[in-house]
Amino acid sequence: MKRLLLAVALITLVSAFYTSINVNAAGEPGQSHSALQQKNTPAQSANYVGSETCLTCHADIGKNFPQNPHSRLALMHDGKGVTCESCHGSGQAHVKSGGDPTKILYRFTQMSPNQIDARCLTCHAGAHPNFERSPHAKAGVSCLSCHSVHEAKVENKLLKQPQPQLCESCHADVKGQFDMPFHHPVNEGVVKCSDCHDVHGTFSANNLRTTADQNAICTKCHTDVRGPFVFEHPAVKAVGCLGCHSPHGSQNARMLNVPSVNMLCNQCHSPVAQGTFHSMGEGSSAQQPCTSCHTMIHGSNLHPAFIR
Amino acid sequence: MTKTRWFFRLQQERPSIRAAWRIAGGVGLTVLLMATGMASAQTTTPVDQPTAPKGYSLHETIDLGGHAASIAGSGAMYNTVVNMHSGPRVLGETFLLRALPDAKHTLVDSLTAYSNGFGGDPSNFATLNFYKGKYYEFSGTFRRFRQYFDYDLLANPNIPSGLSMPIGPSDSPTGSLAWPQVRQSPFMYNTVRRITDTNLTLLPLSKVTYRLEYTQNVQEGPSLSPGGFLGNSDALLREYQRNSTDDFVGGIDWKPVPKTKLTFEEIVDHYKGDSYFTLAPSSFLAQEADGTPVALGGWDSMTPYGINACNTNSMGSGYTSSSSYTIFSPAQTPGGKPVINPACAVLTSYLRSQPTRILYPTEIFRFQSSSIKNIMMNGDVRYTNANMNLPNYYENYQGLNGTIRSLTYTGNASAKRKVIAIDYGIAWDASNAWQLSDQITFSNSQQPGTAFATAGIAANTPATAGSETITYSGPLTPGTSNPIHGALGGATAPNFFGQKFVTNNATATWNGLSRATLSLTYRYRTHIIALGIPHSDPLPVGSQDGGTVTIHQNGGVFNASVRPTAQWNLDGSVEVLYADNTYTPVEPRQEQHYRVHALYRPKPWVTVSGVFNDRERHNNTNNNQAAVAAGDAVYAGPIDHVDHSRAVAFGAVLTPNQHYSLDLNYTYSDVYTATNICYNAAASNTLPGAATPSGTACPGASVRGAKYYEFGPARDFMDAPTQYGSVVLFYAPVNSVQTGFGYTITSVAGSRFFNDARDVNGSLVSTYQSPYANVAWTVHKAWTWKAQYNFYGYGEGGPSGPSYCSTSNPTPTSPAPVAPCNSASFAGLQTGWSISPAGETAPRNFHADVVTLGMHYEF
Repeated sequence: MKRLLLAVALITLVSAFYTSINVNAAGEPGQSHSALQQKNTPAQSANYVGSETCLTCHADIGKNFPQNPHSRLALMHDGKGVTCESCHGSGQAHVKSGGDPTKILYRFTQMSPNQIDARCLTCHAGAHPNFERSPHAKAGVSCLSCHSVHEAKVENKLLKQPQPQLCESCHADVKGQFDMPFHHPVNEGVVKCSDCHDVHGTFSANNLRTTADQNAICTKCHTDVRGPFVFEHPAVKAVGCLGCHSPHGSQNARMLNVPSVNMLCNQCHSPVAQGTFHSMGEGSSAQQPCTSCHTMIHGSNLHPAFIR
Repeated sequence: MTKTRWFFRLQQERPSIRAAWRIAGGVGLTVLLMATGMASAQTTTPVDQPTAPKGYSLHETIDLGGHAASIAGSGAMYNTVVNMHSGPRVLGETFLLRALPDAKHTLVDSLTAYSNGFGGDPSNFATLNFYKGKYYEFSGTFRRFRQYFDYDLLANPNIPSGLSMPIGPSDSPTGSLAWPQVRQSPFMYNTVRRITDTNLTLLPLSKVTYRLEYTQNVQEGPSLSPGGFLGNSDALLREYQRNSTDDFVGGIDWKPVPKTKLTFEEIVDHYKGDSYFTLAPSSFLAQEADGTPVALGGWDSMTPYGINACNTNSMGSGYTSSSSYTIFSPAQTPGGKPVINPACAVLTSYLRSQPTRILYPTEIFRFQSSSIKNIMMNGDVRYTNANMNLPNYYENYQGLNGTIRSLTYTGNASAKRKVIAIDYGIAWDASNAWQLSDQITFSNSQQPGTAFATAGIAANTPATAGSETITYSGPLTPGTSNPIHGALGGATAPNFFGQKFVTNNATATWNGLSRATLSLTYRYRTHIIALGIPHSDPLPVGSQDGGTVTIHQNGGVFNASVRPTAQWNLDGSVEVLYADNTYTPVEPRQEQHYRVHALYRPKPWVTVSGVFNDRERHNNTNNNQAAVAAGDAVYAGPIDHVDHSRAVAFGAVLTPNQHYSLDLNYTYSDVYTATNICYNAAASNTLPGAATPSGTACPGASVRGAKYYEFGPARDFMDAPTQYGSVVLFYAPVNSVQTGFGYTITSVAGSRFFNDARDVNGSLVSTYQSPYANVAWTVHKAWTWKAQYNFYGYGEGGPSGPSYCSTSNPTPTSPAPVAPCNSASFAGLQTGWSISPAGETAPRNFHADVVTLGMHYEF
């Protein structure tokens, strides 16, 4: 309770620093206001021509503005949003040249992934602070590889395709795993790739998320195996869920890495492992499945051998 | 509402084809009549547009219909893999409310809701999102997933068929009671998980932003669970699962200067575990004379219930000699359960409950800044102090086990999880061509705990002839302690687990060419695992806990991303890691990971992708040689663990115009793992055991308390080469008609080592295919009739069982005589070669036809 009160106090204290709420929409770096030039909104920069000017030639793109979260914000809130020149830069030279595309300051089709990322992160770095160090960034996967600002199929995040199709368009080797006899219900729409992975980068390998208490992300749903247990099965915590399970899908029941529970256990708990490794118990070679007795295999609060 | 349970009932019975098609016909006719009727009506009456609130536009759709399913083969496996059944459904619903651009003072800018699959499908979800630009954003999702799992191979006890117990005198039985094979998985699940996520952000564009989140996750439903060491033997239990979490998050983001954000979050997660165990209903095979149903236990025993479970001194006339006795008498009513002698061990009731509560409060401070030119950095500090509390463990069984009529265990437990974690990452654009970045993560978790369990409070009958029965009505006396095998037995046990990670990734990235990016990462990680009490020194020789295991890992990752043309992206990486120690034998000491991704878009409507992914891991070290030298461990050969996961995949999407599209995918993957393992042959003259012709006997190992010599070390392996293919064709001949055709197949041609001569491949050699076809016909502007046909087919096969069998257990001086399992010497005996590829239990093959009809209505 003390911790909760302390947290509330901290939140209140921080809020007190800023009693006046100043709306600061995403926009050109250094701008105090959006670059959007809507009806009744004065231009904020002498070099900006305003989106209305852009739409005189690019009306096809403007058709989607009411559905686009970027521009919709501007439409609904007196220009405090993002439209053409917020991303593409000043359009004055482009207009004066009669539409010369080379005069567009930021032509995304001609930019490298790094340049595209840098442009988007100008506003979105706060939401995706790990992106520049992420495997996707290193692989040349830019923001526009997954997002389409003008022709998104998924309005909420401006995605080019919904999940998992979007992810599988590159990770074709993973697609088949969700059609294995035993799999996480991703194709069924219950679980999304982004439930476990943050494609914008995390501090963990494989863009994996973790729980707040530094547990495997699996325990976010599978809460009964999260612990803490008095008697942890150390391998579960030290090696992780993937030591025994294939999370995308598997030909083996319970998405185990091998088809036989006894094989799985005896890899660590047979006399070979006992004689050659850290002592892990000689195990049992009984033909009944090990989990017939060791039912609480993920951890137990009462039994050192996970039988209760 | 009380009568709606049928609506969600999981239909385990297999509906007849005739019944299914009758339902399909009914649904189809109804929907068609709806379609034609409504279409007809619409031709004379304009579509009623819903009245949108002032200042908004409103668009809604609803899809109503249903499934008709016809299932043949294993219903359990169908439910495990597909689980779509007949019945009406709300197939989908959307609600879209938008404020008009020139509207003022609206409550929301946009409100969208979407849901699907309600009415009995195993998976449903719904979303609700609404926001008002700079003032607030709300998002909520609800997901429901029924997990049905009844794949019996996972714990197939391999009980041979045809075993039984005599009814009447053992030397002249009048009938028999079948010793049941466990045809249902003892780990069966029929649980439902419901996850609700809500997220409210206030003032999302302001310098100070507030966030409130709430998540609830509930899993409940019946399942089966084995119960070891219960009464006279083991018992199959029914576990009613009920566990839930309530997760509260309060956060505040503060942007003190442009491009810098500070965040504080308080997260409070509350876990409630209320699962409890009782005897599985299928366990009650017999009854007492007064009609009380009783469980016999030994659900996974290959030896039927016998006279050694009875107190022969108290069986009265039921026992004459070890070869002449009566355990079961005929049922008192036709079709009833046989009556067991009251002096024989039984379970009449069992209850285990262990209500557990865990509170996880976590404070998180995050920061992100790119305010300094060319530098982007972020990090966080997290602290968790979780408390687990199990105040009242209770376990009790009633029945008879020797003289024990009742046995009760109680206990309690508590544990903490303290975690401090710090992450920091920085990327510096040193020049236009070079970027240097570093990422360091640290976490230290400590979990002290204490448990206590009584040694068992027994109530016994007198140990006198005639009294050791379940019907003894005299006073019961306290018995001696009877702790569960391996349990605490009346002692308080403190314990500890902890681990510390320090990981650093230093990366140099070169962007010198516009069409190429190269990066090199050096990775270092220290992982210290602490076990037991004390745990300040390295793990002592021959000990499983009471020390630490330290692992240092070094590695490098080279990544190249090349764009030969504007339409072609090529990315590859090589990752090499080395560890000086591992905690388990199957963790890698050496790891190589090779990966190539290619994406080619020659035309805007053509996308071709390819992937090569190969991960190789090895561990062939003997970390415990000191223990062997000290005589604390018997050397049984090298562990020699290797595993690899290799995949080659190809995908293509062609969308030449709005009338056609084609989506093709093919993947070949091979997952292989091998480790040296000792196994017990467990052979007898009637039940051969697996053996290897050249293996030497491993040292003795315990098999439920007894020492056996084993065969091996055997090269235990699994190889699972898998082919996956899918094709989806979309064709819209006219704007009002859309059709789709698809086919997906997953074929596994695996092989494995069998440690049990009666084991089978099961899903390791299986084919799962699901072709489908669908059509959508826009009958009228607002009405679209939809139909879909899905076929699901699953089949297993291939050779099963080991190559070599034996009918005796080996010893170091007397190796097991072995012969091919399909040789004449094993004729008539059960080996993997002589029984069905499906094993002792029912075949898991199935095929199903599912027709879905629906009507889509927009308004």
